[in-house]
Amino acid sequence: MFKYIAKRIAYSILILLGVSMIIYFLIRLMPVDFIQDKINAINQGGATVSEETVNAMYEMYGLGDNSFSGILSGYFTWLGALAQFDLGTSFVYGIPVAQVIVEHMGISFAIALIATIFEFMIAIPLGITAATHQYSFRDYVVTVLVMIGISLPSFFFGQMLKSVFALKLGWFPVSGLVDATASYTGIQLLWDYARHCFIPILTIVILSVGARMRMTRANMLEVLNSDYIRTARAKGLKEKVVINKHAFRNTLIPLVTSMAGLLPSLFSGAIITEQVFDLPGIGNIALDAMNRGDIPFIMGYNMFLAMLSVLGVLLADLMYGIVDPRVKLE
Amino acid sequence: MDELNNVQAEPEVVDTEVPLDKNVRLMSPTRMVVRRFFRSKLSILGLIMVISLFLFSFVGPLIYTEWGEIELDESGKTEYAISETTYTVGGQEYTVRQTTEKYLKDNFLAPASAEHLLGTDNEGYDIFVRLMYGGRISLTVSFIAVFLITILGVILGGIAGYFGGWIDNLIMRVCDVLMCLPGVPILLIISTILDASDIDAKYRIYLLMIYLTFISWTGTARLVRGQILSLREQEYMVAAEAMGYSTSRKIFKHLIPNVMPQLIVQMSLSLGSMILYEATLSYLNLGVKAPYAAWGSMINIISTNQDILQNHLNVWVPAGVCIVIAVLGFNFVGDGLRDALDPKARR
Amino acid sequence: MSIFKKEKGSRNYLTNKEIKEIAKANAREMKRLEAYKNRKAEESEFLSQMKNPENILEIEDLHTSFFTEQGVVKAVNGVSYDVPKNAVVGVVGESGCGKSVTSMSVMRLIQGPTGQIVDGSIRFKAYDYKRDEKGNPISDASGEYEMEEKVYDIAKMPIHEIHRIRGKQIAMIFQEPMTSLNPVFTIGEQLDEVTFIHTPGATKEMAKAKSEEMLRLVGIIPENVYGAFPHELSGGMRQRVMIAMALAAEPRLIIADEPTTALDVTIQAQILDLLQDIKNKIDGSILLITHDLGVIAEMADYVVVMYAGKVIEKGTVYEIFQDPKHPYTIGLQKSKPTMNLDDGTDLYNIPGNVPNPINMPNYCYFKERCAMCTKKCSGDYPGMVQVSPTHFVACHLYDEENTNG
Repeated sequence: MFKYIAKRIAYSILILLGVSMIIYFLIRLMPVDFIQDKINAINQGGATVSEETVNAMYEMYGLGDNSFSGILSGYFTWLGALAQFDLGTSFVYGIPVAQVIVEHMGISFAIALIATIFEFMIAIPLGITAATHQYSFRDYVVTVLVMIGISLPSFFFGQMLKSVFALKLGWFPVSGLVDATASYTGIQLLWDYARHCFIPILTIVILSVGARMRMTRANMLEVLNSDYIRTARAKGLKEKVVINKHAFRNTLIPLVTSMAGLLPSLFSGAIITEQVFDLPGIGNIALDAMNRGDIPFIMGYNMFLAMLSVLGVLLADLMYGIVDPRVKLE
Repeated sequence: MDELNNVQAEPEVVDTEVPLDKNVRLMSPTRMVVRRFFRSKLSILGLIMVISLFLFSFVGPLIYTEWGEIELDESGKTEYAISETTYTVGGQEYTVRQTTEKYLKDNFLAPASAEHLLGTDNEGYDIFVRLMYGGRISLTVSFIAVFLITILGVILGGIAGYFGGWIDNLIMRVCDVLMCLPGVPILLIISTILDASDIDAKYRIYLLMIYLTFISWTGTARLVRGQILSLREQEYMVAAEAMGYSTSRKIFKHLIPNVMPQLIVQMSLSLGSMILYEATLSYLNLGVKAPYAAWGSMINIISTNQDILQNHLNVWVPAGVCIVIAVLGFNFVGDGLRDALDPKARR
Repeated sequence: MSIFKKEKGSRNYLTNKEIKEIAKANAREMKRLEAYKNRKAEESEFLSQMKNPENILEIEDLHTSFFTEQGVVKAVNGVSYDVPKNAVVGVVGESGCGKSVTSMSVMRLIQGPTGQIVDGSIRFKAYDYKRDEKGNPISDASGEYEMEEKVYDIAKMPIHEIHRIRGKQIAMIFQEPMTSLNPVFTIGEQLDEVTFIHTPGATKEMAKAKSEEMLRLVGIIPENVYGAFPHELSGGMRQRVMIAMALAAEPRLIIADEPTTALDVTIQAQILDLLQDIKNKIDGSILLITHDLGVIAEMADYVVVMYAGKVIEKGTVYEIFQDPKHPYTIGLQKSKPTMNLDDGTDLYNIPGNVPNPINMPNYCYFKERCAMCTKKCSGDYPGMVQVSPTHFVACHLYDEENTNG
């Protein structure tokens, strides 16, 4: 068991090394004078990028030396910094990238977590009824809903919801996380957050629930057609027990595994949704950083995301070993 | 297609050397697939959606030539601004209403009319025409991307599955790495790099999508590899081995036709997701840039002016509808194909 | 390969119009039968009487069909046979002849909506607790439960009532031991469940004791297996567990659907020995479905021979093996490999194939493969002819002169 986990972690680190190589290669593709241009633009925009920060970045990435050994030593310097979770200093914010990420990932995580909870709560029962009533009217409705959900572009759908519920009907605030004109505290502040986050969460849920529903349905169908379900029926179990106990426990395996795999990615931020509703989440910050040429931040953000997804794969694997008795962690 | 059918039919034919019965009705597998595909109303709907979008985007601009993609309507526009000022003179209130007339060169934000079927956008471009050109870009780019992804995936997946050993190991580890790369954020970097190298706004999206193919072939490669691995275990491949068939014959006559059905399904489904990708990139202003049209950037117009979001639905909603139709169409077709090709794994 | 090429030019496949008609007719039939299956019904509607009180199961004129895209497949087409008390009835026939579908119909395990029991009756004499209106067993003051005998027509039972029969009255052993156990529950959990469902007031200790007793009965040391997951056991072990599970509720009838087909030969012999052994130990009947004549000869008291969805011959095991009447049964016997076949003759095989199940001819289904055809065989499908008190055959060769002129 421990041997397996250790092996998996070592493998994850190997994957991360591969990812880091690609990201480093990408930054080396950027011409140095272009970076200088970007810094000048930021300086003109009001912020001041200190000489120190710029030099620190050059040093960290080993820029400027384009010989093979220069690139190689630059990579290892950067990797060394990465190993200490040092992602460099942001141009725009003037503080370490890691700090910017930590400060803004909370709101992204909160929104994503609530959305994911709703997603599973809606998708699992609907997916199961669609499977147990295959070819029925509700199965058909679920299938069409699934297709629409996976086909809608998030930015378009988000703007539609915004246009209808915030602008036309005026039920919800248009954008942002808090009402800037009022200073709420306690329960009122929480209520204000909830009102601001309602449409973004609704957008994420509607767009992601389809795929999850499809996954649940396909899984349930596969389970329902298996021999052991026939055995359970032949034992004399009532249909309800057959589905809720025997079939559901088997459908749960992929669901729980995917949930574990999803957990780290909740911190990564929904770029589009956050942009549409102007939420100060990590995704929106990253987009803004890109537009303003905050190169250390984009690099750090990408590395952060890669770490999250490697962690997700790792967690899913371990979870699989825990929930499925057939899989032994060895 | 014909090759494929023969291979699939083989096992059945072997034990039907003697015709069973005059009443037996057999149908060729292709015919069966086509028939099953057309029996589903959703597949037909999807096909209609896709075909009409193609006609709209590629034939449309040839027929409707009133406006060009980057042709501004310079017929001019008079904007009236009404301002009210209230004066209080000796306890009496007076309101002075002043109307200023401003003449502007471009006829922007015009409502739908016979001249502009869907009106004009905030610059004065004809929206209807730009929808057609946006469709061209979207469809072309997605087809190129899917084509490249498939070729790369088939070659790399095929090599990995066929040769196995360390080659397989290497390719699969590369897959693992690429799968951990974040999608849109990595394109943010690539887009910055493209900014640095002064690419023509027109070709930018193509380059971006080609980069995208480099990180997106993993799914196809895994599919092909998995298929080949399982097919290698099948008896008829063992038989081919025993008969001393050449490698190329084994690959082209036996393996490829068996992977084809799944590949076709995968391709039509990824067409939908590529269109979504392209639209997202254009929406984020990373893909097609002004003055050229793309569905995504046509929606992005609203971020400049909230008035458009609320009061000029004709500017941004049609583009969104086009994206939805395209993605939905390809998804319906892909789903229909999957059902038709593999009736056991329905939906 | 060539067949499909030839097919292209001719119009020998279903036209679009025909397909639509089939789909429409199928949808109508399936809807009707599904509604019938899911209807609410009073118990009196599916209570019945046995024709012969010595029987425990009487299948009469059973029709089970599958509504496919190409047409209706009558997998079971008017099957009738009985299972007497404390007897082993063997059903033989080649694959696809409907023997498994018949047993699945008895358990009502036919997968809807495409598969449906269309007609006929399956009468079963159940021995169950007396129950109140809610279906709970009635116990007297001393906590003892009263038992009563009732005859149900399983084919007419609404599907939500079928749990009265399954497991407790009729248990089933399946062909695929490898996949028939739920992979996420331990063997113990799956065995205990049977006791929990069928024994009123069962406690955990009771269930465990019963499960362990059953495991011992099938020759397994319970300590090793009770807490194990199915994937940790071999195929033979899993089949033993399946048998233990079937026995746990002490059913009156056990249906063994090709219980040894998926196992290798040495394990097959062990499982057969076990079944033989159990047959003597339990107070119930066994319906044994197999395509292996050797198994039948060894185990069965009565034999039913099926061909293309119909029973063509039935009788005692002695009659079928010593005095087979139907040309198909004779052919089956001849095609059995024997050790002393060293005179250079090939193993006999029955020429040809089973006719297409969608378009069955209206004459004898075996006519085209039969070496003993007479003129009459082109006429109607032959009826059942009684050749001895227990021996029946459906063949024109044995028609009485006066019935068919």
